[in-house]
Amino acid sequence: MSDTGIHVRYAIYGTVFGFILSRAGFTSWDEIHKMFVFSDLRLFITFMMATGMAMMVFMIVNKRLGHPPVRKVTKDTIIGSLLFGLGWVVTGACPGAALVMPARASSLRSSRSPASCSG
Amino acid sequence: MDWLLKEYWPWWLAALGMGLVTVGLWIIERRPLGVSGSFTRAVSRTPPADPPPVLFPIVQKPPLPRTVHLTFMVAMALGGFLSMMAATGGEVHTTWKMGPTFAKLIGDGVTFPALLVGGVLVGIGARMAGGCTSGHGLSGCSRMTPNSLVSTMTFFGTAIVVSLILAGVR
Repeated sequence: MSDTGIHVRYAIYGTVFGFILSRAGFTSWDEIHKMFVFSDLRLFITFMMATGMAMMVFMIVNKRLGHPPVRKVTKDTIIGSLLFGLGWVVTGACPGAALVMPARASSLRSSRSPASCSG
Repeated sequence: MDWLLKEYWPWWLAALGMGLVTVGLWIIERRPLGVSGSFTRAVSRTPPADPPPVLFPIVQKPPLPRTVHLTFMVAMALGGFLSMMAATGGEVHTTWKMGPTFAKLIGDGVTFPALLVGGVLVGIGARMAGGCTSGHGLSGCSRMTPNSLVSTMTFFGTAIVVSLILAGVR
């Protein structure tokens, strides 16, 4: 497969995923906050149902398709997740949402991409 | 049709879409979805070393060209832009305001430094943890891989506890 084909396919995945994250509300600080304080469970349910649906499909197909490589749980997994959770509260943005957000207030958040590569 | 473009989607539709992207990417490309991984691989000359396999059978593909990760990330921004255009009927809205709840809990005066510090935390944290909400959350939890389950519970748990404390104190 040519390089152009890969670019076109990933452009489609990215556009679709970005559009969906935005429509779901994962790019809104307020919606994310409402999820964390349980005042609105819509995003929680969305996330869990998306994972659940994917889980069912993976259970069926992965016997044949296999798995991606998986890292073991380390101290870094825990510490990193703690830091990530903390940052998520403040910015309301996880890495995916931060990419989708520049349409809103958040060109600021790209400030963390240097961190994500040097980290 | 208006609700589809102008309001937040109901859980079932958004979940269906996110689930389809997660499994679709795997079935078509045999690569797991993971946005923070794209960040890392787009800029890093030394991509994360291959982890020791935990689950079998393993699918290990050669790394994507760096530019493909860039394409993916730009496309995600484009998707967000299209979503905004659809919602506003073609108008571009930009704002630095984070909303009244942010102003109350974090403070409007510190928007810039707060986002900077928070952004660095998200970046370093996701890199250390080896994934974010898409890679560990959607992609890893649906495969029930131990480190993704641990990571997702930890970052969700942290976020919930800190948010509840913030909301309680302020």
